[in-house]
Amino acid sequence: MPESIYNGLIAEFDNEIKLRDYSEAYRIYDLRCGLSMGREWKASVFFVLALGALFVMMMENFDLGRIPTASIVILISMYMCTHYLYLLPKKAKLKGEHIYRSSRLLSKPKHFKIYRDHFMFRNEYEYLKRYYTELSDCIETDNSFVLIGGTDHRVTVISKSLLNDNVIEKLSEHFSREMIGQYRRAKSKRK
Amino acid sequence: MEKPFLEESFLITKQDHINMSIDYRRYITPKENIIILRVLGIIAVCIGAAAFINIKGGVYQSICWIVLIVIGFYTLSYYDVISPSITRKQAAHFYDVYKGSIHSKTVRFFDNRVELTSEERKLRIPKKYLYKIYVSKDTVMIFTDISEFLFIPKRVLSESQLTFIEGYSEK
Repeated sequence: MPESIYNGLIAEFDNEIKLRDYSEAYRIYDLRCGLSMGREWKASVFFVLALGALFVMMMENFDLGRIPTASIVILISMYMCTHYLYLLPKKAKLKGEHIYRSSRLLSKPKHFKIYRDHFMFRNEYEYLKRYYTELSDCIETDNSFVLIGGTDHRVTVISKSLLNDNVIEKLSEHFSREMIGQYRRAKSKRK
Repeated sequence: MEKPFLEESFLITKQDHINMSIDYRRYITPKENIIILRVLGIIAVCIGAAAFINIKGGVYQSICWIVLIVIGFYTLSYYDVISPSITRKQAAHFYDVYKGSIHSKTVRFFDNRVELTSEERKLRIPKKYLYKIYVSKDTVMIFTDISEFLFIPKRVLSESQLTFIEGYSEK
């Protein structure tokens, strides 16, 4: 069987990630598999609780002295909604920055090889081979490809800034075809 | 060829993975959080119990005090009983999902670097690039940054090897 059909090389390139790429990727990782997972649902529960408490307050003509519990419930619920929808993603991004700054390996340039059923990268200190079946998510943003998964739940980032359009298109098409269940295209929230 | 100071080969079992997950959970939990939750739990249980015994109210009020006592016990036992139990279940499930991809690993400690070799990954970390070596109850964790780490189950290490690893980062 010819190599190109069996498991040929799709792309080969050098890549290097910057602090902003990694923090953004970590925010996405946190949304998909971390503490921020399902944050909309969790925030909705507290929103409904706040509405319920508000309804009770309305029934009592907003007499806070008679229904202090309802006011406390509203305050806690509002805080939890803010926590899930605003504070958690911010915190995840900061944690990503903290991880990047604490690591001497993440910032090192890597040489990637993308094959039909796996990818690998290599540099002076590290070699990693990962099959797509081990990945839980492959998220494409405007700035990078974020590959999440494996036994160590690792976040592998391929920055688009160092790739030419041809390679980006090839990778995008390849990942979307080979990782149908795991591939998503997300808009980056880079400011 | 350079001879390592320490060389050990091992396969991660399900129990190793569970122990590592529990140890990591303990490592990342700040001590203040544990103390705060315990104090809050004790306060809730005391208030609930005192109110339940002393305040004569209706059935609705009694239920509220019982709920407060239950919440107190939940908070009190969260880090010692509930959290390890959840972590144990999650780790067992994770191992079952990924057990096909878990291969044996060989770790080598040299004078100026640590090497890890497995089928899918090879690491050669200079000693100055290590973030931290943390020895917990059942696991030795070698951190490369604040969250990523390699781990060695303590069961594969002898007392002298363990002492060597504990002192490695200070040498």
